[in-house]
Amino acid sequence: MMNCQEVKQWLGNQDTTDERAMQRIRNHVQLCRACEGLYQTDRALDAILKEGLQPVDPPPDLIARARSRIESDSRTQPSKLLKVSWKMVLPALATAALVLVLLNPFSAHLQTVDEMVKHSISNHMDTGMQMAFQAKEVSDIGQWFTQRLGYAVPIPDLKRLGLNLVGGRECAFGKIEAALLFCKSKGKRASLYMINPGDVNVRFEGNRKYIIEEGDYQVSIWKDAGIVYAMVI
Amino acid sequence: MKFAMMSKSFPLMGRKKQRRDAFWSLAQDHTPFLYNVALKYTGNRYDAEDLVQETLYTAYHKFHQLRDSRKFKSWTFTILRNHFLKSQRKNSPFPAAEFKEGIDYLPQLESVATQPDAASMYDQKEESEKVQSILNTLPEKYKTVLVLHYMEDNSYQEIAAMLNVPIGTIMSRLSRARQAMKKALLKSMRHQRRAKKVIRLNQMR
Repeated sequence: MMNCQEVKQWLGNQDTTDERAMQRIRNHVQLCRACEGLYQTDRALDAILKEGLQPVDPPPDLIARARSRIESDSRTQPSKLLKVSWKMVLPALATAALVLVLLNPFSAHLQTVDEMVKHSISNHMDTGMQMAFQAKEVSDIGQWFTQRLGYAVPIPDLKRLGLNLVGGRECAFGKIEAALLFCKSKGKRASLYMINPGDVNVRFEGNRKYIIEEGDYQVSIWKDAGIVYAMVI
Repeated sequence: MKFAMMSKSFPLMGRKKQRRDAFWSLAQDHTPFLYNVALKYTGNRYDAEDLVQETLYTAYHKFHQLRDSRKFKSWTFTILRNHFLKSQRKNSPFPAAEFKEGIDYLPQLESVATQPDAASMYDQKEESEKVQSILNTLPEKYKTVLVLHYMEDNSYQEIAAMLNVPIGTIMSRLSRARQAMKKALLKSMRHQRRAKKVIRLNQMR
């Protein structure tokens, strides 16, 4: 029979391939309440990890888009391959359009401040997110975003907000798209989102500004010059 | 003479088409896997889609180099991983934060497990949504083993073969990655419990 020390040692290493060791642990925790608590909590965390890493379905038209792009790049006989390519791509595009119409994923508005806070922090915490441009690479950042997002994106006075620009990109903000500026504020990372007011159902009468503290982060949300801003520091 | 040239060129065109069809058939089968790895690596669907497209582009043009079609999955995975590492080096807005390894997981686990209401601290569905955010903070080598083990149910041996590293390295990476994730989950649960949202409504100017 395993003792408590060995159970703790296993929790430190977690070799789940050793079925005999696993069985000995199960036998021990049936008789030891202290180890049972540790073991059950650890297994619950493991189940959360497994659940959170489950695969999702890729966009239905992803392979068709990749094929279209790759084959059109590699095309040596344009007229012949064009026919083949469109025959393949058109049904895929039609299916994708139908899916878009039925699911209408872009119609989902941001309904609450909490929802905005959640998306702001979730993107902010994503340190792997890549920049589409770096500071000084783009002369008119507002125009850069406007061309890509299809709505006017006025850039606020970053100095007044205490921000130094690092770079920017478009990003998913829940089910909508937003402009994102990567910034620094007093040596800390900061994110500034600019969101189409048509996508937000939160009320901002009287220049109302929401300041929410969530864990280590402070999120400020306000509306100005016809755009909704969310800033995370 | 003309006829002879034509009859030679047709089989060639046939082989090319066959190879192209074989590629897209394999790509179709493995795109869900590639997309999900890309999604876990990048944390958002836009970058994930770009990464898959880049991977398929490279794979398509190098397909003639693949000798065994059964290795298509691990071959394209290697291409995807290389593209991801390259883009990370090039475009990361902030240098990666120093990774704190999960060596003090056990004391944290003990402090939570000994509380009387330990079971009520976590809601599996709610907590599992935080997994991606925590995963984003991990270095690539830990992300990779977690994804291949938990998402794909690959064994240590299979992961070692895919990454071409010794099995002992995979075991220690997985152990560290697992503990770091669990430690962060415990921290987030405690935080959420304590967190009192403060909403202040201010005038803007």
